[in-house]
Amino acid sequence: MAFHLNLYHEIHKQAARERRDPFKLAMLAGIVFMLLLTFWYFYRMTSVGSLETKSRNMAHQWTKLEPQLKASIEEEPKLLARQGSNQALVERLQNRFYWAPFLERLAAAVPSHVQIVALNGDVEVKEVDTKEKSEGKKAKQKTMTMLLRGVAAGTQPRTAADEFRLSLRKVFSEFYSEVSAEFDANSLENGVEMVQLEGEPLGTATFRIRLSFKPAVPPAPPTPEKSPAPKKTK
Amino acid sequence: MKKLSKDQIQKIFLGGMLGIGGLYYYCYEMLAPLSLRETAATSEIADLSEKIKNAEAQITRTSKIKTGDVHQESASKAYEVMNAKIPNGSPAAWLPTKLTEFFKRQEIKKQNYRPLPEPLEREFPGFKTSLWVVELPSVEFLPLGKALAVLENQEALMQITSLQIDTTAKEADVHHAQLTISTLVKSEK
Repeated sequence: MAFHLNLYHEIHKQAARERRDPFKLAMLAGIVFMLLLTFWYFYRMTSVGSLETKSRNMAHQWTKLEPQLKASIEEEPKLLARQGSNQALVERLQNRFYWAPFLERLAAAVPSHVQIVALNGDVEVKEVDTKEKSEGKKAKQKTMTMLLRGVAAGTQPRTAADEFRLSLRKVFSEFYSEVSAEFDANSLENGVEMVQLEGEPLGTATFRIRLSFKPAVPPAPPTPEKSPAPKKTK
Repeated sequence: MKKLSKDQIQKIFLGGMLGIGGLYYYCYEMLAPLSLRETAATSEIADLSEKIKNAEAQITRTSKIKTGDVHQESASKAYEVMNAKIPNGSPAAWLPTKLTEFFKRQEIKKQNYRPLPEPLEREFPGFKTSLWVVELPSVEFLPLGKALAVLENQEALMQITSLQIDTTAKEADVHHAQLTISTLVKSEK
């Protein structure tokens, strides 16, 4: 092994000492720290800038939307009022109660041993909430109330009057919904007069029937399901 | 390691002092305004996005109401017909005459007319509801029913809100009838 002598060791030591100079290292660390701070500052400035741009764009969008919003707020009650009046007008025209068919059905429903002496009918209109309650929509619902005053004759005149009441309910249930036919309180009384019907003297009963219904057509009964066709046997 | 000279220690101390000053300036004069701007922009964005969201919802709702009126077309046609058919002026001037002619055509000769107080609510712009009591002192059931059928078919704007029929004491077939008719008339400006 050859002997190696470093004649420059002092020069090398001096160079290494200069490389690890704490002053230089402190300077270098300071510069790196400054660069990091500068980088961070620019990063923050960019992100804030983009936020401000977004904010400015939104403000621009808002300046465009604001007049539309004002117009919309002003317009909405007018539109709702117009919509309500349109609906009311169409309902008024289309959902009228027709008295002539009612009178025709009533005349057909009165048997020969019953006589109606007075009819007093009223259309009652109520506002009810609709499905669109949140929008404040209300629908008008009509209820008809008819007070029929009459005389029934028969061997059992009170029974005859009650049968007439039941027949009224049955007949009108075919054409209207929620039909009710009830005697007014204490209105069914035996009459003092006797009547001759087909040569037979019969007792009478006076009554007052309160017939009420909604003009809407009752829902159709459910159609029975078709039974499967019988299998052919060979 | 090389020992620091006095001069170098002074320089490092001075550099450290300058660094602290710089750091103070960096934090309070450079970063702090940025943070303030960021806070302001963030709160403005939050405020504006809420406002824009609400405004868009309101505008959509209004346009939905505008386009969602299913009765618009029928009502417009009805208003056209009403404007053309309903005479101007007070209903007292033309309604009894019109109804008298109608009942004469139906061979019902006697009628009396009485106006009722007008309802306060005005549902239809330019029009109001007028209520009239029509008394038919002697009418038979069948002609009355026919007349009502024709009236209901011809006069879509009229609706009978109440009907009373009583048998008269004189004749069994002759009745006393009273109808309350509600009709639309032009409201005076």
